[in-house]
Amino acid sequence: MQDFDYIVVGSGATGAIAAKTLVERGKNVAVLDAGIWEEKYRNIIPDQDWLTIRKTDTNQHRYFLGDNFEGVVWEESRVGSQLTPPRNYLKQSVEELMPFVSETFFPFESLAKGGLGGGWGTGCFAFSTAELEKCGLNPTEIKKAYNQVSELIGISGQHDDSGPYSLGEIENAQAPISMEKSIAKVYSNYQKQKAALNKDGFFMGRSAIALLTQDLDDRQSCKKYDMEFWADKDKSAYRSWMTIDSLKAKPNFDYLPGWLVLSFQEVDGWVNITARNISDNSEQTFRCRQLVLAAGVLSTARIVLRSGNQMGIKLPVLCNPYSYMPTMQLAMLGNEPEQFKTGIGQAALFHDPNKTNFDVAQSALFSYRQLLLFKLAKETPLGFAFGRQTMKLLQSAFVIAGIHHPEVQGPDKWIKLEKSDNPLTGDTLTGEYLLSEKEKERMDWRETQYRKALRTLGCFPLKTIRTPQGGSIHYAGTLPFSDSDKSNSLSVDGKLNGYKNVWVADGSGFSYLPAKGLTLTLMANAANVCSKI
Amino acid sequence: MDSIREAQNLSVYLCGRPCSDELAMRYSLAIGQQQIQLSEKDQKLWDLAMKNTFFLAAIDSGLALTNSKSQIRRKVFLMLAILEASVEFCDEFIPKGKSKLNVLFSLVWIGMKAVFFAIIGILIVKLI
Ligand SMILES: Cc1cc2nc3c(=O)[nH]c(=O)nc-3n(C[C@H](O)[C@H](O)[C@H](O)COP(=O)(O)OP(=O)(O)OC[C@H]3O[C@@H](n4cnc5c(N)ncnc54)[C@H](O)[C@@H]3O)c2cc1C
Repeated sequence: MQDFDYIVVGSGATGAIAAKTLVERGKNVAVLDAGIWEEKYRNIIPDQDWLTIRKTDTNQHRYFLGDNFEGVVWEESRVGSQLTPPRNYLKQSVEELMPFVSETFFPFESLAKGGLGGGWGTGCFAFSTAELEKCGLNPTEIKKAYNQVSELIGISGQHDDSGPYSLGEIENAQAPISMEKSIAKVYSNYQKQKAALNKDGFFMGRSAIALLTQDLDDRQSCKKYDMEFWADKDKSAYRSWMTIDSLKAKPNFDYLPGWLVLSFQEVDGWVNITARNISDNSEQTFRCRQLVLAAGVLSTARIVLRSGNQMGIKLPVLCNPYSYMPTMQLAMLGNEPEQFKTGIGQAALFHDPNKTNFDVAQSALFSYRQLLLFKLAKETPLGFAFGRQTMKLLQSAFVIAGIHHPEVQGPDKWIKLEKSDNPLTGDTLTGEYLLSEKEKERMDWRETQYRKALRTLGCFPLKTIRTPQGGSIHYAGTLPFSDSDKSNSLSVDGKLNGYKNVWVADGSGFSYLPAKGLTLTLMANAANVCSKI
Repeated sequence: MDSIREAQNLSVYLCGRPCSDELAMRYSLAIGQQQIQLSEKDQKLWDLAMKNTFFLAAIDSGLALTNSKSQIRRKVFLMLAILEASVEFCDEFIPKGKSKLNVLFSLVWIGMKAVFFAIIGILIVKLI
């Protein structure tokens, strides 16, 4: 048995910040993590821009397509199509170690070092006071924590029309990255049509992104190599593993990868944690005074349900519905490709029809290049030779709007753990995720409004694609915050009700999911929870 | 037909010229790994498609409209990806600066060819 003062489970966005906060407070901390890592492609990607790589690197097929051609996906991919071969490790072993079965809900989980944060789009959004309250969070504390997190991870952005929806009251943001031509054109159209768009509740501005425009510690400002979905050479885009790596130098920190945490038990002022070694299957007990669960909401739910022997008990779950609209910005047809740019969303369009900064929908605007053309050719109803030629001509005019919708709890949105013949865990998480008719109508209406606004901005929507539930990769609300101490809920400071020394630092407590990406708030909450334990 | 010859035919159809042996070998490796099985009907279509680029263009275009998930299309798709991720063919995939008029004319021309091949392809797919 190994003893620690504090054990944090998970090294994702929340686990990394939880550990960092505790270590800075001088506590002895171990991060217990599945910690899957990738070395195969990381070191063969040149430190060059996309265009140069495409024209010169004879090894490019290895990371663009994958050594086993895993990047050439023929089947309809349900979730996470942005995950390239170098990012495939994010989903490695998830099916075996964390089985999830559902006909209606297709979440994306990770057992990687750094969790989903190893591939996130870096979009940061400060929730408004009303949104934080509806989540069950303390607005004053979280707003303070936003600034701490921003300082740590480095957020760039601008206090323009999107300011209230993205940077909020964050004061230490770096200057925004210069925009690529096609998004700059949409932005300039917005400036011209602003009055009409604002009247309809649309506000556009620079995205707040965890992408450096000034160096920070060992991380460099973004070189605009347009390789963010493949590599982290300059470390300009924040990835949670960077925090874990920087903590490794501290004497009061241990990183223990290779362990799948199964359950915990409180015994005589200690928390005993049972974990399975993912390489040899052996089981071991770790012991700590305080346990912080930050394994991602679904995985944390598994651990909590298993520990309480609560098979078949339904927990609520939240996931933002997500749709995207490929659009054509005709003004950009035939434009020369830019050598230096970034594929990360540089502008966002918010829909706030009541102008209250509540119940807001959010759309990031992207161009398309980095992920290669052959995937676009597959989307056309043409022979591939003609699909290639058409997409080559149209590519510079593509603007893709990814729309997140706000989400509330509902009777048909749940998960439960059931006994199964899974050899490693003996159970399987199952679930259902169905929107009510009213919610679907609201989405239809939102999408219609977006189509109108995008046309006003000079982007003509080609179609609207709704991803299956789970596709937004934003999950929350399985152990909602509660004032009472009922089981399977959290106190507002993150303690798991019914236990003395078990805390939850991920999004399990959020009772509402604004459409704005939740990860900045997840990290702020983790910092806040761990500033008090 | 061996997969090296298949790769050459596909390369001519997709990008207008045959590929190097290295890319052909890569295609051969990919086909082996992905274990693509053709049904009896698909095999007949494939044999015809491999006879010349005209039939290949027609069958691929016909299938794009009638059975876009066909395993034949999967093979063509694999080769397209291999060609794109190569220094040899990258220029066939990276847009070039052009006037809008030029783009529009090119689109119309490609569209006309695509429709022509699709009509022939649908007939072939129906007949075989
Ligand atoms: C492609 C992509 C783009 C995204 N873009 C954005 C964006 O732009 N903005 C935004 O706000 N959000 C975005 N997200 C979502 C964001 O990545 C997640 O919200 C966030 O990373 C969740 O962090 P987490 O710490 O809660 O969980 P996770 O990232 O899931 O981390 C879980 C950690 O726990 C470990 N773990 C899990 N179970 C166990 C166990 N049983 N035992 C031991 N260890 C365990 C895992 O190894 C991992 O380290 C994106 C996600 C993806 C995949």
